[in-house]
Amino acid sequence: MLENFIASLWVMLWGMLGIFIIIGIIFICVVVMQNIFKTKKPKEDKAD
Amino acid sequence: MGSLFANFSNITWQQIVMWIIGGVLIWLAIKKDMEPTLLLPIGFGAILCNLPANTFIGEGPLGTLFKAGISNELFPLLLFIGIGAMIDFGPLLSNPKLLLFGAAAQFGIFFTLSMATLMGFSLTDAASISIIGAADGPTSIVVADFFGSKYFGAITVAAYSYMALVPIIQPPVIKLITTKKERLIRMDYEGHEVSQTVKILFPIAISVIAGLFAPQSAPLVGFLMFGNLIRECGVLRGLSDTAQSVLANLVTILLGLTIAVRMEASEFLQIQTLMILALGLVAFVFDTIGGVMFAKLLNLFSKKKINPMIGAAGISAFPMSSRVVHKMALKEDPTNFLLMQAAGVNVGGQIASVIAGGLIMTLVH
Repeated sequence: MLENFIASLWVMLWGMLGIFIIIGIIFICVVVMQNIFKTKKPKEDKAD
Repeated sequence: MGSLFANFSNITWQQIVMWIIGGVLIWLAIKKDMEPTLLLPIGFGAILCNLPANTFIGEGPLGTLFKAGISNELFPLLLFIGIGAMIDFGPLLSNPKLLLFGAAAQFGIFFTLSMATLMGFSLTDAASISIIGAADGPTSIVVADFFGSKYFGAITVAAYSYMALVPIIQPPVIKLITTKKERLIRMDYEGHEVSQTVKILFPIAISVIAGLFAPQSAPLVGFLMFGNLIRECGVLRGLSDTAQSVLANLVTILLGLTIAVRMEASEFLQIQTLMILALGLVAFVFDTIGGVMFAKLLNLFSKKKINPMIGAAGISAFPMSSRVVHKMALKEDPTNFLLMQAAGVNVGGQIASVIAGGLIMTLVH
C-alpha cells in the first residue's frame, strides 16, 4: 500500500506539472495565433 | 409446465438488488432528470444483464457490442466527435488565460489517486477511479478500460451520476472556501473577437501538442478536436450537424446499454463500489477546491482581481459548472454577470480533463 501511495504522489507531481506545461504551451500557441491572425477591423467610412 | 418456471430457481438475491439499482438509475433519469441519456440505458442494461441465465452477455448481443465498441474504446471516441462538434471554444479563445483554471481544476483527479491507494486499491485501479474527477464520462470509460479495471461499471455509474450532481456538490464547497467579499468580485469581460483561422487552427494545434507530450491522450484529444474542426471549418455543416445529433445520440444509446455488461451482480455488489462512490465525491470536491484556490493564488499577484468562483468551473461538466458559478454570482450580486468567463473556464476544463486522462494513462502505464 505504501509503495502504491508513494507512486501515486509521484504521478500527482508529474501529472499536475505535465498538465500545466501542456496547457501553458497551448496558451502560448493561442496567443501567438491570435496575434498573427487578427480579425480585420471594418474600414471606417471616410467623412464626406 | 415445470420448464416454464425452471428459470425462477436461478434467481439470486444479488440479481434482485441489481434490478433495484437499475430501477433507481431509471427513476433518477426520468424523475430527477439526472443525465437521462446515459443513466436510463445503463439502468435498463443493468436489469437485462442480471436476468438469470440471460443470453445478453458473453457471446450475446451486449457482450458482442462490448467487445466491438468499448473494450477497444471505439464508442467513447466516436462520442467525442459529437461532443467536439458541440463545443464552442469562442469564449476560451477570446480570453485564453482561462485555460489555466481548467488545468488547476484537475487537482481532484490526482488527489483522489493518492486517496484510492491509501484505501488499498492497486495503482491501476486507483488511476481508473481517480479519473471520475475528470467529470467526463467518455474519458472515464476510456481510462478504466485502458487499465482493464474490474470496477469499470461502478466507475462509469459514479462518473455520470456525479456529473449530474454538480449543481448540488459545488455550491457548498465554493462557499466554504471563499469569503463573501471574494464572491462579490466583479470581472470585466475581456473577450476579443476571434478570427475563423484561429478557430480552425486551434483544434489542429491542440491535437499535435497533446499527441507529442502525452501520446496516450492522442486518440481522446484527436477525436474531440476532429469534431470541433468539422464544426469550425465552415464547409461541413451537414457533417457537423450529424455529429452533434445523429452520431452522438446513436453512440450514446449503444454506449449506455453496453456499459451494463460490466454491472453483473458478482462484479458490482462489492464494498469497493461504495468506496468508489465516496472517492468520486472526493474527486469532484477537490477539483472544485483546486480551481478556486488557483484563482485565489493568482489574486495574490494580480492587480485585476479574479472572482475565485470561476476556478470551480474548470471541470469538464459543461455547461452545468459554469451555470452554477454564474447563478452563485448573481445570488450574491444580481448585477454581477460571470457567465462568459465561467463558460471559458468550463471549456478549458474540457480540454484539460482529456489531457489529464492521457497523462494518467502515460504516467501510470
